[in-house]
Amino acid sequence: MSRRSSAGAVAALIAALILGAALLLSLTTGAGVYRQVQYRSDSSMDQRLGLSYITEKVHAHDAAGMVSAGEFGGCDAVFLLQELDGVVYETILYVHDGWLKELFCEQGWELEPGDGQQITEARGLSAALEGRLLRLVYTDAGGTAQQADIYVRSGM
Amino acid sequence: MKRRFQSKAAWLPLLLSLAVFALAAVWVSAQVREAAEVSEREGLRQAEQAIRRAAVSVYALEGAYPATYRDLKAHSGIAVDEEQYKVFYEIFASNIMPEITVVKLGRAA
Repeated sequence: MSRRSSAGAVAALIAALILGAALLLSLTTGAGVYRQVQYRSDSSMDQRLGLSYITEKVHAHDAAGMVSAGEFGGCDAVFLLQELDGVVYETILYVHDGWLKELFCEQGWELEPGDGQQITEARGLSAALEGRLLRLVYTDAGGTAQQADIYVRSGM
Repeated sequence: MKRRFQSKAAWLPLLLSLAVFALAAVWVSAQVREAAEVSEREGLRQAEQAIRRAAVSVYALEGAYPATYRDLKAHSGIAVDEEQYKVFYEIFASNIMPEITVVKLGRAA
């Protein structure tokens, strides 16, 4: 075989390799663009979801002495009580490990923050009680901090 | 003798080229297969995340979780490819987050 034909074969193979690499590159770029678009869409949808969820929970449990703010597992949490068949249950809303979590259990049970059910991604929650005003500062997954002041009509 | 040696040596670049090409083809097919697997896992994760988000949205708006997955679809307009995925939606109470599990069809066999 002559040197010229060998060089031609090598050149053709290199061209094929470059084409394959270009195809892979376009695939990964497209996937990256799609991920960015999806992330923006998710962020937009999640923007007020967590805070709206907490607000709705508080309104649903709005009864005398059933809403309070405190600490759970080292972070701020909202405590919502309800009585069912003579047993008092509590719903604890808190942010742990990058998620807004909800823990529903009988009052007095000692559980860990990791036992809660994931609701939506979040970075932080601070809850403070000022008379009948429950002041919340909620940081969503994108890092945007949102504030809500909930008036508990039934008293704390 | 010299001519025979030269003719044998002339095949070496071609063999080398073919070997490089074969390696490259194997590598590309492995990458494409991995991309397909990642895409499948991501699709499953996104389906579950979308259903969970829809359930939370319905609760935030209406104060109660939908009783069934069908109700969830009607309230939120969510659409998951049911030819690819099976959704298990188990609700304990209308104010407790339901257990949502999404499974890709065709895996069990």
